[in-house]
Amino acid sequence: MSQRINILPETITNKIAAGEVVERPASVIKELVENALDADANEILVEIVAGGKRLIRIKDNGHGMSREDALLSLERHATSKIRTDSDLDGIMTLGFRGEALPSIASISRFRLATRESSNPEGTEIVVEGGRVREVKACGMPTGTVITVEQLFFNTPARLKFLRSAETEAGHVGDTMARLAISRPDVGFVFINDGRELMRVQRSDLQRRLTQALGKDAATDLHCVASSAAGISVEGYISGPAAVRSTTAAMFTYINGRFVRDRLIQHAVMQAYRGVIDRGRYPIVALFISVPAGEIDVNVHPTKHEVRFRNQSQVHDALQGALEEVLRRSPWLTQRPEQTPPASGATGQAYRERIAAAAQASLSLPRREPSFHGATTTDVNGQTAFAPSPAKAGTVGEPAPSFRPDATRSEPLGYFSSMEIIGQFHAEYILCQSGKELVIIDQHAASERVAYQRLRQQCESSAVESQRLLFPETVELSFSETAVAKRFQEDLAKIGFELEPFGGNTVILSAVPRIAANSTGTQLVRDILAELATLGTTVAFREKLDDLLARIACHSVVRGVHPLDNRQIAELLRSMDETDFAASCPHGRPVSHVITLAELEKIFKRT
Amino acid sequence: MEFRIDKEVFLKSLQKIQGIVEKRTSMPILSNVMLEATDSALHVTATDLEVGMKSSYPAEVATPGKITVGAKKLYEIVKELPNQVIIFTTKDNDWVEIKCGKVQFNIVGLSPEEFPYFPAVKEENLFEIESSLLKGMIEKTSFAICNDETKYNLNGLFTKVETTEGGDQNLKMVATDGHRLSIAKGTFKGNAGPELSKGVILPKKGIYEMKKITDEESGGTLMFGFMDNSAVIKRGDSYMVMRLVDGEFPDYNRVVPVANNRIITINKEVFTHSVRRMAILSSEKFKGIMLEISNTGIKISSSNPELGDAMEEIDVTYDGEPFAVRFNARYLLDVLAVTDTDCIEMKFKDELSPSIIVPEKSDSFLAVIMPMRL
Repeated sequence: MSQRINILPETITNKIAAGEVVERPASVIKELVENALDADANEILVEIVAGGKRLIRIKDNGHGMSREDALLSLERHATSKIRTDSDLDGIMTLGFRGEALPSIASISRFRLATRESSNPEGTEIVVEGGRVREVKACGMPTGTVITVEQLFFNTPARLKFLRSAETEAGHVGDTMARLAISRPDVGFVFINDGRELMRVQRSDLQRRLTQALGKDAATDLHCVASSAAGISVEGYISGPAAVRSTTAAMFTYINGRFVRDRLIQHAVMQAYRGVIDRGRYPIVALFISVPAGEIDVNVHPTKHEVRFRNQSQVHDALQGALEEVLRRSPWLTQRPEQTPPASGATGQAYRERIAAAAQASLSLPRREPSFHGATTTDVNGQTAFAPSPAKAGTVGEPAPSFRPDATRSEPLGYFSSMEIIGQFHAEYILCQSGKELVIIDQHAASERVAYQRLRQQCESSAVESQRLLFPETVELSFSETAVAKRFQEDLAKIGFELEPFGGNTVILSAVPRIAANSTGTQLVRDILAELATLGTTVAFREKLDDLLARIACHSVVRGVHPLDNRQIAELLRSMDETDFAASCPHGRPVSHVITLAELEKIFKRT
Repeated sequence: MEFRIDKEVFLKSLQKIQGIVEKRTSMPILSNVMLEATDSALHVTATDLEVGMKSSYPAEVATPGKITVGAKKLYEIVKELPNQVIIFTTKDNDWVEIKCGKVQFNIVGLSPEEFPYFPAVKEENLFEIESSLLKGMIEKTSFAICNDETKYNLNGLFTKVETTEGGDQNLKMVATDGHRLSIAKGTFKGNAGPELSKGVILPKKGIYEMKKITDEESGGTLMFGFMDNSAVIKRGDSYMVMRLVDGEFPDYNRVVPVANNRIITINKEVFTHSVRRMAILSSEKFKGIMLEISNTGIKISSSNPELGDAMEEIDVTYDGEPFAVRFNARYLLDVLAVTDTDCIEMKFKDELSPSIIVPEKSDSFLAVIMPMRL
């Protein structure tokens, strides 16, 4: 009797695990830096050569490991992060699987040096392709240094799929940016081929974002802070001016872990609907905390995905938190010019500037890095920081100097506090706000006001549904049928009547009136698909919103239409009462600001 | 080709086919009209592949031939020409010269070879039908034709001849958009043939063109018939051919309720005006009007959160259980507009089941409307 099934030797199992965890040098960086963060390091240095293909070195000042731990850490499923089964339900560390180190060690020439503070000497372990070659004592500061050389040297297939050094370095840079934003309290240094591409000091989130995203983007960031039902959302989101064409600047973290989750992204985009154009993505850095028992991060070895116990709750909490900020259109009132320069900078800022100056004098002129990291080289960058988070979200914050009545109890809104200059071409309203010339598109403004009013009315009244003479049979998939059954009541609330008709067929016997003239079955499918993946549906709302936007667009002043000053004042006043006043329902901006400085530049006065 | 034709005749011939030529089409030739000169007549043909029309007019033909020209531009040109005889000549490369008095136009045409084939109609297959009957029945049903292109089987009028037990033949036309249904009935004389006995769906566009033909002249008869999956209508020297909708019309008899025993009779004028008034406050897209029917009469009401509400009472005799039902006001008005009796009967079952509206003491027309639910 021949034996066909073998238990694989450990070197092979490690290689298989590496296939899941380590895709490219950036994955190594992610795993190792996360280990460093879990080890309470607050200074982390990452160095790569040739995009990480030749060398990756990660140095931290964390608590280090003893000789025994260091050797054990290279075994598979060996971890200090969880001990018992129940720990899996409440994971608060970034890692927990105990797979990263042995996996990386099995596909590279690997060198681990570590010292605990209690131990006078450190331990250095050399591993080659998963085999320990040498273990010796060494002298080093507290912490851990891991050197990974010749990644994938024994897995030629993987090696072949690596891109050029520049591309891989770019991926590493992106990973570093994500990690740096996730922990503003940790200093990061990132060196590529001997060039320092990023050096960020321990600071707060806002400053870290400025360093990671560049100061232009960072001036338009607004603070989000909300917490409801155990889910808290904190961070910064951008206004409509600083949008990107990809999701690359959407940094979302769940319990400190960077995730790229459909649910989260959907919630963010829903909140931004009508604020930015379709196909544009905002800059966000959001930290979502949910009780550890409410999510499962053990979905995929790289942990880019998570599962929520209660999807719709997280979705709605996030969308609500963002809308809360966006509806006030804080970017209207918050401008870099109005913020005091950081003259009274704290010791931190001072240290930073010194460091930056030193840096600038020491280093050779260098190419601007591909990701917006190296603001430390920009000495002037210090003065242009965005306002402190405490001030960020407040409407009408810095009082306009011309405001006549300083003792007024109820502060005027942004729009009504402006001085009306007049109308241009009977289409645009010109106003003065402090040292700014504000141009308002009167059609877009009144459209938004009308739309918001219609929406309120619609929300207050029930949805009327038109019953069908010939009920339509809809063939669904197994999962759609289950969803239809589960959400039958919710669907009835928005006007759909679905009845099971045996097997995977359901009968659609009533549709909401607004959808009565289009194909109801398609809308039902869209809604079911959304319910299945997100536990909540916006397809119907979207349809309603589109319709409302169209009605709003046609019901207000269009094109050339002279307005007298009282009408303008009334429009401005109602804009202050309107949520999301800064953009029309289609996402176009309502107002444009020309600063005095810009005007002076036009007239060559500067 | 060269022919001379009276301006008014030419203008009328072009006017007639304007509704058929496609304004936006992927086949440029379909926005053209084909002019064909034979011995002593000019044949004007237009088609969008679904509906086609061919008419003949007297003309003085010098050389026979054919050409296609942009239908809309040619119509605009002829409309503005002086009231004299027009000389129409084709040149090389499909150019066309139009002369009228001292006016001269040179316009570019397209080769007639590419124009879709227009079937030759065999007269013996046609039967006579009263123009006014057709007109009335189209009026009573066409409003309910579905405009959603995806429900292609509802984009037309279902037409069928039914033979009663007594041997009488009834012509029936049915239209529905899935929310309401309209059935018109008329007496049919002659031989129905296999198509009408089985029932056919006449396309929406063809119906509208057919209605134009019946509008032109009150009284008289049309010739009607079928060939190769198309319906043919002939009047005088004009033929119209429409391709039948290839689809299954839903079983409408199933949705016409038979047990609606809550019946009220109401004056059509009074009811129409009331619904119109109430509809002012119901917004077309979101809100219907409500009918509350009790022993004291009908209370019709509507409300709009933005504007306010409205209510009106009409006295009717009703001695059943009181109930309330909601409708899209548009659907009620459409039905009321085509009813030609003084009073209508409304038959209900409950607030969610289909309701019937029929003219009083007449079975020529029946409408079914699905109520709305809040």
